[in-house]
Amino acid sequence: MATMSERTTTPGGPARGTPEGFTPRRPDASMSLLNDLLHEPGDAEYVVAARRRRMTGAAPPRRRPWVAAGVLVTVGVLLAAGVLEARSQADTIDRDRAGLAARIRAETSMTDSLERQAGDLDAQVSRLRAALTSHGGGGVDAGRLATLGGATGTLPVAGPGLRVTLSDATEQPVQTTGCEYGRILDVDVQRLVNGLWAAGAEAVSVGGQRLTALTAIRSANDTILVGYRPIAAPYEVLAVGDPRTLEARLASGEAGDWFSSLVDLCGVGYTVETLDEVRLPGAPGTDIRYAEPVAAAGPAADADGHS
Amino acid sequence: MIAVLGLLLGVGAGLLLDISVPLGLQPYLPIAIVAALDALFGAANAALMGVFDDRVFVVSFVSNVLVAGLIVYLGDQLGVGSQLSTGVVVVLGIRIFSNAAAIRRRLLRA
Repeated sequence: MATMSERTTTPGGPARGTPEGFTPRRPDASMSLLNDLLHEPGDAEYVVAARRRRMTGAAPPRRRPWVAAGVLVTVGVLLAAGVLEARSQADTIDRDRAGLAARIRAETSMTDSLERQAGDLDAQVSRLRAALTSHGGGGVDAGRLATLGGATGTLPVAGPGLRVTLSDATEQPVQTTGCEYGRILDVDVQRLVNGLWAAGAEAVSVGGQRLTALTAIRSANDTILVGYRPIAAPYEVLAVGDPRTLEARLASGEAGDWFSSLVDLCGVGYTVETLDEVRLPGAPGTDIRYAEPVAAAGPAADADGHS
Repeated sequence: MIAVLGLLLGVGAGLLLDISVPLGLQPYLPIAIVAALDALFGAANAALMGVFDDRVFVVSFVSNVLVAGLIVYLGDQLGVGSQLSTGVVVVLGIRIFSNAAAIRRRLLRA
């Protein structure tokens, strides 16, 4: 026991002779926190208690093993509860993620089926309109409707045109700045589409999504969205247009310059093929914004406002 | 011996009973565990030195857990809860290490 008191003496000064082992103020008292941490053993309380008993001549503590055992049981329960808690939290996070992923898939398939339904209904409308025209009624100019539908993107079109395929670089580009790791970005797709329009394309689709005047091409995180639908690489861009001039005008335009430098510097994939026939779907779910149904007095509804 | 048995009993009871901690207390559980471990190592060291005193053990355990929880609670109220948690864990971690080193020196003389 005699060595016990020496263990608690700190480098500042001896503790012997002072009541309860408190030392007078030391020169390094302002660093007492660090000193305590570094030099004082964690069991100082026990040593102080033992010394106090020796000073006062009190009897050594009665041994009550169940007290310590009770505390230890509590510690064990705490440990187990902590481990279980951490595990269940990890489970919860996993479950949340799985649930979100399932919801995303369900909503996506829901959107798909609704789009199919809209497409079916569009086709039905077209059929009925054709039937109406063939019966000479309705005052609908079928040729004008078809032209406008093709131009606005609501009706499927087919004809000679181009297929442009964009793909991310297969290896890390040499140039590090401005390449975005050789990935195709939404702005690249935008430039290509603008270049195709400028080169005289009559209809364009990106990744199977027909473009209308209101279709947005943008990105969310690393995914390119066309008309709010995610599309995956490689990005296939189809355009209907004059096959003799479309490719040349695209290559000599701004978009051609942009992609030739992207290919050279960043290593992205950019291939252009001229095809005898490309088929583009109609854009689903296009709202009619300005046309309104004519009141019952005039049954001949003007469907030209279908934009 | 009785100490190890008690600890094992506690762990077994905790695992079997599948205690669910109230949501409000969840942030304090890890801190309470670290504080309890600190008290545990201090007690083990004291027992090896022959000065173990169960009154000091109980008081140091309860006060360790309460003070650590209080500091973290205060930090949460002030918006620096995670920083204060880190501070508590660092301080208690140093204490646990120094106690473990003392136990090691005493047991293995190395």
